[in-house]
Amino acid sequence: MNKRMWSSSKMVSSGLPNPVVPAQRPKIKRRPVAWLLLPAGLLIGTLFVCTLTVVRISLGPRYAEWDGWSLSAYAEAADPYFLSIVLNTVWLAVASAILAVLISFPIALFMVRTASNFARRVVLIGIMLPMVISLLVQSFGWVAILGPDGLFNQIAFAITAEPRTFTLLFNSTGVLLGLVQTTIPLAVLPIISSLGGIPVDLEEAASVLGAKRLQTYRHVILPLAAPGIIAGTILVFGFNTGAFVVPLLLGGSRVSTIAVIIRDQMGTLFNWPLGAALSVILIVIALSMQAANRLIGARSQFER
Amino acid sequence: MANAIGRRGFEAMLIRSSTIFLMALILLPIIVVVIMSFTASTTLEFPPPALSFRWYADVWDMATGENASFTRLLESFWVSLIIAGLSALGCVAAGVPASYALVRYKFAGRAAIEELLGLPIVFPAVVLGIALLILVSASGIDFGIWQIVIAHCIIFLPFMMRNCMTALKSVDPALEEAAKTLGASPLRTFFEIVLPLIRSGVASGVLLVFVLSFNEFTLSYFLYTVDVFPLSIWLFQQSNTSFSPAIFAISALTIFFNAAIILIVDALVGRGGGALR
Repeated sequence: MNKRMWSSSKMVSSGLPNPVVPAQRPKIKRRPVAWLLLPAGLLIGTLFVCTLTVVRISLGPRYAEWDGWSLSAYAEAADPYFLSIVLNTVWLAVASAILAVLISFPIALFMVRTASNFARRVVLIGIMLPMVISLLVQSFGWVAILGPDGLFNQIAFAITAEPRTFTLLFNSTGVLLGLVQTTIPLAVLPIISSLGGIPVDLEEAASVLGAKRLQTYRHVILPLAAPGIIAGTILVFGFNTGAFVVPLLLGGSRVSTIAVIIRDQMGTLFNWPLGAALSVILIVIALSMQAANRLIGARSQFER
Repeated sequence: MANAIGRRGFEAMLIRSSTIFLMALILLPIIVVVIMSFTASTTLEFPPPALSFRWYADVWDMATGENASFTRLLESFWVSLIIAGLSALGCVAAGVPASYALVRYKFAGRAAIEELLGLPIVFPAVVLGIALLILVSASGIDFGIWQIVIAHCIIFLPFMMRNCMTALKSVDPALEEAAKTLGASPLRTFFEIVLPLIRSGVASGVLLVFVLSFNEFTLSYFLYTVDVFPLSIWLFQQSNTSFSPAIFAISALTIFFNAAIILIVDALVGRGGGALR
């Protein structure tokens, strides 16, 4: 519309060797980029401010968080009790990541190989539902399944005639199941993208060269799918280190994770510096995984 | 035939049956909630001794009746809808331009910015919730509904961006060049050429953010107030105080609602289910 704009765009797009173009290009393009990124930048900036706030409070003395400086919160956090909860959280996250990947691998294989578009879409919707539907709602379902008179114990009762065989609710087994179930899509999607990139010719070549199917999996498919498997593991791990709802609802008061004790320290006990120090630890664990992901070079789905 | 290596026979059957088994396991809690919501019993016995719609009728009475403890149910539902709608709009406003910048422009630090924008996925929600709560109370300003909306925009932005960027990558830049050559301003090019082409990607991102925000619990848990009381918090309080099968009926209703939206996303994305990848 604007005449100046018209002519400059024309020059850029004409592709003719015009000496003005290289000089003008950054001038035209740089400013819109800043404006385009501004709203998203404000959101991420808020996240950054939140991180700084937490770091600041973790370095303050109790009840005077904004004024003084002190490392006492970190000394408090080094207490064996909190360390055991940190370890327990990491253990739950590692175990859930491994289980999620083990469950996701056959599902991803099916989705990549099936010839039926319909089946692929049904499975995709099926794995998305647990991530999307309220964890609270699903935890009601888990209570009905895992409870003392729940589905699992009734099945066990039918087989062994022993009432209430399993205690699954309010211990780490139930929490682990919940953590795995809700993060399956985070593992399936990266695995699909790396499995989808393996040409079927490679499997044929392996077969022609005399490899059994298991050998093909061991030496061809698994190594090539490794980036997706690693990305999925790290994503589930990173997501579950911050687990809050699942342990809160399925763990009762017996299973604590870092996120749950942060809530306790901040909300009920008003020990802000300690809660903040634990938050810093949680952020460090989650972000170092992101960094590890980058170092390994396995690009996860969400940052594509 | 050669192409079918490992794609039929025993191996394919093994993969198919394990997929079906694992899917059933993953969906079990959701299926159980739906079945429980149809129980005719007043207890939480599973499987239900008989089926009925009585708890749905109960929920209807709660929503329409005068029972004081349940007037909040409808109110909470509306609050959640508004929060979800505003969060989805916020994510569009932030996500679409940012995706466009990342896909179309080359600039210093592009990769780093892309990295930063993916950060909210692994950032612990509890920490974000508590930090926002501290900041909001320190500021002394009443943010009302916006404190939850802003929090949701932050954590769901990557989901929006992923859908937008996938859609944008499939748009041929030559089309935009052509529009610009023909005299269209960059804004007009975007609204008349690019936007119609990425419409379904944006729409599926919007719906995804909408349903994620509608169901979100952790941030709502830290940021809700007496006036801004989302459905997830209402359900949480009810489950702590009076756990009746009516809770399952309400839960099942939200499941149907969410499943419907996911189906729409799937239809928008079209065949192959590309967008959720």
